[in-house]
Amino acid sequence: MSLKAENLSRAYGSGLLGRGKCIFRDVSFELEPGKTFGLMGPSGEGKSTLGRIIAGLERPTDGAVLFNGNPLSKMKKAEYSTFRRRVQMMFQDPTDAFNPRKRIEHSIFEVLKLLEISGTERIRCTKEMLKTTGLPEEVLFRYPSQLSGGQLQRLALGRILLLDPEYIILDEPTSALDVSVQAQVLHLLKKVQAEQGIGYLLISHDEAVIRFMSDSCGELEKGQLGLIEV
Amino acid sequence: MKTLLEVKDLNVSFQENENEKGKEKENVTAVFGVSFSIREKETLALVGETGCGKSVVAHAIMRLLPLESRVKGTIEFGGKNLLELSEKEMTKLRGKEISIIFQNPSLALNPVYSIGHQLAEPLRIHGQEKRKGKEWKKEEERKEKGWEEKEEKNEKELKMRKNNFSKVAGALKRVGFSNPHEYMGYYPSWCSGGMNQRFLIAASTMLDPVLLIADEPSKGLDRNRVAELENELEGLKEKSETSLLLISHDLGFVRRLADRVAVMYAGEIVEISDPSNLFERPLHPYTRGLLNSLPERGFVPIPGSSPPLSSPPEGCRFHPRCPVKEKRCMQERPDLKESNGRAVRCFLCL
Repeated sequence: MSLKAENLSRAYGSGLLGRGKCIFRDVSFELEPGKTFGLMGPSGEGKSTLGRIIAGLERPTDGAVLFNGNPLSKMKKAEYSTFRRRVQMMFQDPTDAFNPRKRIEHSIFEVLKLLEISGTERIRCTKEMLKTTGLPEEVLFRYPSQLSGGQLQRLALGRILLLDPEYIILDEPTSALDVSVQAQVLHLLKKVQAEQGIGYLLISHDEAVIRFMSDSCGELEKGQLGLIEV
Repeated sequence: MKTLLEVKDLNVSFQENENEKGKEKENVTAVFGVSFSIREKETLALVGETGCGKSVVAHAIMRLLPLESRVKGTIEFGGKNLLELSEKEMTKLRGKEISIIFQNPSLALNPVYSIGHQLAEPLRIHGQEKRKGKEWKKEEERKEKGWEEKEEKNEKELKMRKNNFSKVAGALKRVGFSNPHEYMGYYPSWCSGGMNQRFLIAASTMLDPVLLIADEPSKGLDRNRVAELENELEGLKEKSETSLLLISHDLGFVRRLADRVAVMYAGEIVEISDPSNLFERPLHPYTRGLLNSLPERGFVPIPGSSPPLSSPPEGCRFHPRCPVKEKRCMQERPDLKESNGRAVRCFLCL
């Protein structure tokens, strides 16, 4: 099981008339299970775009994302849907990740419904998830606005874990959080990785976070990916 | 040094809408017995986690809290209790004597007006008041003389606009825009977060306020922008002798700028100290925990999470998460005790 980026490039505004503006060119790296690849760089360098391409949410202008050796663009529908389940994305702002008008319970059960898990099993799964993320059960009956950013980010991670992913793309997972909560979330991420052997792509502009979490890391600067020793 | 602002026993509570069916309306006390003072030319930083009531304190000083909030205590500024002033008197102070830089720069600016127009707003509002007084006397003469005078008035207005224009340009230059005239025609959506932040700083310092409140000014800015912001605030302090109330959860930023730091937890101030002592020899267990979760100290988190403000724990509010608690901590509420210029709310320290 591997997830590989090969010579990825992305340009905006390209079409018949022009070649557009290139954001990054020839970016290659590989994610391994149980390891973290850190991606840093100043804002506006296309870190998030790269993350979205790896997760299959956007297409590269050139190059390919390989999942188990198969390029994404040539996958059949069934293969593609397993890929989308196996590779998940966690976003920067947890308040945007939950439906503000529904209780947390609803947002979590929705995922389990898609997995075709029956009623009693659903409750068991949810309880187990809350245990791993260290949240009390009463959060299920609350609305997103009644929870703190740290709690929501942990729930977002828990919801992803229900899908049993192999890789998670973490797009600035802690930059909307306080220092004390940031530490909690980072430790949770490490714990989950050690238990379930998930591979992370960690995108952050904070060097300290990257150094704390990553096994290998790269910096996106001026459209090129430079590898850095950790 | 003279005391500029004195906050005594400030309590702010909100009435929350029905929380769960059947239950009565819940009262949430967001700020509980907060007292502090700011001296002239001093920078006081207020740090703490999200939701601990930092911004509520700032809004209470500016009298910008929503109507359903209940505010108790006193906020003394220049011999007056701000909480007793009428809205009209408060408007005179706002922007001129006390001014605030809001949390989200892109939301605080009006998207449909140009930067120049918005920056001139404080000048227009506070300029008018001065003029009114003088012109009342002339009003009657003018009525007799007729339209010739009207033209003169227009000319005066034009002159004042030009005056405002050059003042705005000056303010923009001060925050680091080399060609201010170009930027005055810009709209907030054309500019980056960092630029909007500087526009806001320019607007709130336009009339040289005695007290400037900066509410999370470094939030959402990347590292280079934060360094720039730091320089600007520092320059501002040197040039204009403004006192600064700096609200932030960015501890590194606070350490470099503040003269004194107050740490807030769950609506209370738990420790006040000068930054070097606070960062090297923190007294309160919460402060220690907060510092340990910094990147350079290895991201060691405090176990548990902050209590909901609708039902804070008995006794010391930190006791459920405290590593060194005693029996007494769970029953009695500690007071803020002072010694050697530091104050801490804990039985076990000092």
